[in-house]
Parts: sequence; structure tokens; C-alpha cells
Amino acid sequence: MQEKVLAIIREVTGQNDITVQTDLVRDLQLNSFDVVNIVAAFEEEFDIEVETRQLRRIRTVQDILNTLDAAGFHE
Amino acid sequence: MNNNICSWIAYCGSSHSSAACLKLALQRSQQQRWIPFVPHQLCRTDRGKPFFHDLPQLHFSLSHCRKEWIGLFAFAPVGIDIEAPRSCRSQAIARRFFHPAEQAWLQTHPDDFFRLWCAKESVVKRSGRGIDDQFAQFSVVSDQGLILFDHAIRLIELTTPKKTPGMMCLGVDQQPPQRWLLLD
Repeated sequence: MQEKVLAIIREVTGQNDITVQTDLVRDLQLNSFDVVNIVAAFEEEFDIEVETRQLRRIRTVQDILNTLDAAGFHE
Repeated sequence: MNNNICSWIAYCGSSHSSAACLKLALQRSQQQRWIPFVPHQLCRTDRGKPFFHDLPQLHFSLSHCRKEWIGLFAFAPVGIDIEAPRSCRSQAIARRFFHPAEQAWLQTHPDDFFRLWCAKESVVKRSGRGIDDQFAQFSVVSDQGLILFDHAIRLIELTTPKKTPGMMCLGVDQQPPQRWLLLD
């Protein structure tokens, strides 16, 4: 799942230097809309719904992995 | 404090950290005597809205997009959001985050996507709620288009020096920002 997640983030953001530790705001200069766009990509790709209140907790790629796990996506 | 100025904008068009931009904006604001001192005790509410514990009467809202940073400062709650229109999963986002009235508007006005997003973000930033499960429950459009005024708030469109569009949300009786501080 981790590699799939990284691939989607690279595709959505157009940035390649992304790891699990990447901070979306500090390292990629993404904002809240970018996070929403990334989450929308995951929701489409994996047919899941992420709780809206989880969005503000997403700061790093690891946070996305944890959020997907909480949303019930397991590979 | 110089109470002749009610609100102002600070803007940085080059890449600096948000913390650095905020610090510089506050220093310049104090030099202008719009605030009595540079506050240091930055806190956040449980919903993530920033405020200064040592200057709680200063309200502010921040936004950044790519290398641009902007802050709206006032003595009453405010919200601001800037977004450069770009490729995105607009239909999925609209289904998930936009009110049915907004989705209907976008069917015939698809170019308004980011305009509506900025409007909604500025509203929830002003209220301090942030993007939560109520985000899709309110609409910033009517049959006639964007609601720029209602009984409580007003929405004001803005464009940054780099032509990035955005939206500010103020109280209905608040004056729009009277000054821009260009930080770079």
C-alpha cells in the first residue's frame, strides 16, 4: 500500500522526491486544498471515504497512511 | 494601537516559511503602529485556528499557494484564502465538499470552482471551524451566483500581485483592508 500511496501523491502533486516522512506543507509547500485533492484521489482510487475531520490531522505522508488505515483500506 | 486602521494585508510572493512571513508581517505591523507590540505566544484552537495568547484582540487568517503567502489582520474575526486555479479532481471534490446549490452552480459555471472554494475556505477560516463535516452544509451561492453579503458576513474578492485570485471573509460591518504590506 505504501508504494501505491506514494505513487498517487507523486502523480497528484507532480513532485517525485516523496517518502513516508515527507511533510506535505513544509517539504512540498502544499496547502489545505492540495491535501483535499490528494484525499479525493485516494477516495476515488480505493473507493473509500475519509472522515472530513481527519483532514486537519494530515500533515505527513505517514498521516495519510494512518488515515487510510483508519478508513478501512488495507492491502 | 492605531485604531484608524481596521484591517490590513501582508503579502510575500517569494518562498519563505510561513513562520518567517508571519514574524515579518507582525514586525512591519508594529512599525506602522497598527499593533502595540510583536506578539510571540502563538497558539491554536482545538480546531486549528491560530491566535496569539499575548495579543488575543489581534485576529488573523493566513493562506499560501505555491510560493505566495498572504495574511489578513484585523481586530475582529477574518478569513482569507488564495488558490491558483490548477488541475484537480474537481468533480470528486465538489461532490464531497460542496453544497448541492454550489454543485448545481458549477454545472453551468465550471470556471467558478476555485472561486467557490476560496469563498468557502475564507468563511470557515473566519469562523474558526476549518474544513469539517459542516463544510458541505452551507452554500456561498444562490440562484444568482456568489453571495457576497448576508446578514452576518461579506465576501470580498482579491487578486495577489502575482495575479493569484482569492477571497476574504469579513463581518458585514467590517471595513475591507486599507493597506497592503509587501514583505519582499
